[in-house]
Amino acid sequence: MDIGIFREVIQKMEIPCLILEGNVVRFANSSAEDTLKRKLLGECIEEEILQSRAPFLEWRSFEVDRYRVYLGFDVSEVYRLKGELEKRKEFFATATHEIRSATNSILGYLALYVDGEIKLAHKEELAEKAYSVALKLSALVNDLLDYVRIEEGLRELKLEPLKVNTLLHAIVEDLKGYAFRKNVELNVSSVAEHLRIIGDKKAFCRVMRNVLDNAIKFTSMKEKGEKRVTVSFAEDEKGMSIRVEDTGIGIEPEKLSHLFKVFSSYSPEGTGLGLVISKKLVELMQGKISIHSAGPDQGTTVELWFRRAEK
Amino acid sequence: MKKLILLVEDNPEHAEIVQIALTKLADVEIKWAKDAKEALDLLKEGLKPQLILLDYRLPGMSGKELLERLREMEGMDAKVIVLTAEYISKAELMEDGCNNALLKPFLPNELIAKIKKYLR
Repeated sequence: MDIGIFREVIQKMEIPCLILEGNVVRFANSSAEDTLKRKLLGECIEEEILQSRAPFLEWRSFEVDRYRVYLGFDVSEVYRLKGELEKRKEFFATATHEIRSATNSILGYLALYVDGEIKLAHKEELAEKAYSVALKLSALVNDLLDYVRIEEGLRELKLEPLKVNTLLHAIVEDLKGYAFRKNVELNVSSVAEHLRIIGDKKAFCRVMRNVLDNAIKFTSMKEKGEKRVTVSFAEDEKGMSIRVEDTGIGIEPEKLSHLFKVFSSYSPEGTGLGLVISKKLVELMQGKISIHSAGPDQGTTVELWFRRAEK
Repeated sequence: MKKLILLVEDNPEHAEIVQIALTKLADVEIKWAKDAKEALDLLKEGLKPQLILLDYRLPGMSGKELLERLREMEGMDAKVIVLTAEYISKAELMEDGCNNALLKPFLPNELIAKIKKYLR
């Protein structure tokens, strides 16, 4: 074997390579680590040593004449995909579990409702319960589809200058009734009439609606004390932040990071995807979202930041 | 004498449905535990159910783990029907050692038919 030509090819292809003649290293390129070379000098080669030195390289060896050639193949992509697949499997398992659970409730309540043998004082409540689970299921299916579309990169956003003032007022107007029914005071400080941010209209509205909806819901869940949600704004050189502050049930600081994970809903009404979708959408609009709380019963603050449109 | 059923279910809607459905059976009393720990506590206190209806995805100790514990428990002769919305087949559930299984979504009458077999 002509090591010279082989060496050239290997160098060009940047494949980690080691060639031994007996126990003597005849060739080792820079990709095959120095430590590996040293380790191998005068020692017999064990597969485990090779593997442990470079976890993302899969070493294959073969004999040519009196040489033993080791080639390392980069399998980091395989590892990444394996991880990705694991995550998807878990997502699929939880998604089907949630759908089956909700379907079980709807089917169960309705079957009992139409069952003549079942005598209950307020039987119509069964149908009402089925209806409310059906609404939840419908929200879940919508969120699931949205989430998958975003993950697959299929949700295309149309980024354009948006008038924050107009959009937010419409959303707040929509949510006023809900807040009133939940006994939560909803305050919005005024925002500069002219201010425009860069975003996708639908996505921006969805995010703001989700954040405000959460704020009202988790404030109404508090047993006593003031129940108030305040929306305020601040401009900076490049953008604008929107702060949604509530006096609600709050959350332990160590649990905050879980909120952006799939299916980590903090309330039985939630789909467990709302905040995850919001975060993805905000990032697609080149904005930022973060959530803070000093602890249980200390309220929660969500901070959003969006890029400002050039005038 | 009333026959006792222990229901281990964290989903309050599912628990309510089972409880209402079981009113169709005469002489049956049902006790509801919201998780595996509560169920174990009840059994330790001397509760002797004839039948256990067991959800598999529970907070804390899983239904599968509880089933293993039940199988090791001395003097425990209650039959176990697993009720689950997990992505799993009935055959796999039977291998875990339950007596019967019902995959969610199910109709209340399907559950009643199964229960009747074990309450003779």
